[in-house]
Amino acid sequence: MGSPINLQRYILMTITVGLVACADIPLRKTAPPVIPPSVASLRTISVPREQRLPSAAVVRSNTRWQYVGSLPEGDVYRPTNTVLTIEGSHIHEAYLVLKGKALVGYYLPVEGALSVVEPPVPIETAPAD
Amino acid sequence: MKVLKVGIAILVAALAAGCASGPAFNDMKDSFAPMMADQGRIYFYRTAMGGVAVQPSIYLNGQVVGKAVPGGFFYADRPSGNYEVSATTEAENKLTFTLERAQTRYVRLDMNIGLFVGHIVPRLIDENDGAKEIQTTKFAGETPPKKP
Repeated sequence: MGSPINLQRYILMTITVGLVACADIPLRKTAPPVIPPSVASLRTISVPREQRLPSAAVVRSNTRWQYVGSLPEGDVYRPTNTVLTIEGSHIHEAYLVLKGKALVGYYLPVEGALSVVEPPVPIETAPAD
Repeated sequence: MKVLKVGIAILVAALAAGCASGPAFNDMKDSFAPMMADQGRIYFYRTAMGGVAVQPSIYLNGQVVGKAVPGGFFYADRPSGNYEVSATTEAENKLTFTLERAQTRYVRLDMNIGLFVGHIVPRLIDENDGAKEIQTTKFAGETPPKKP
């Protein structure tokens, strides 16, 4: 840290880490999730175990998620006893977008946008009691 | 030796001066004004005591609501809707989230390392965790809120 070479390395490393950490999350504007007429009641699912997901999202264990509608990409679930955020250059509250047993994206309620998870990531869920 | 003692005393005083010095959260929580029916409450708090010199203003939808004082908290009641919290030092850090009627949100103001100056990063915290963490903080708002 004391010598000029070490200082240069420190600055270069800090800038590199900063740029990688601050990459913007690509977002696609989307219409709000729609609840299809065929859905009789709003279902709730639970996530039994903690899962670390893309974009620095962490789904904590024993959390419950309420179905709030569907997008063409999948079904949207809002947390009811936790919060979910994704991080890029900024932090955004997010809902899970699931297709079957896979996470296909995050719905950002404030931005009205979808952040696609590519490729989809398996996620362990169960029907809530 | 005497110079060292004086130096340490000055340093401790300077650090203490930079931290929140209002009433403790637990001592004043019962005096908070109740939320209005159409509003929710957003608590802002900073538990990290490092970086006392870094205390940027905290903006809520572009309006200053307080400062990121180490060990401090403050709150803002707002109508339900979409909100953006931002703090700027050498870089701007933002958090977006929704607020519902009668909902309580906790925003922790974390200190991250920057190139030259630390960054204050607002993070949305689980209600359970936020309610516990904020108990270690002291009021750092403009005017202590009181019941009407």
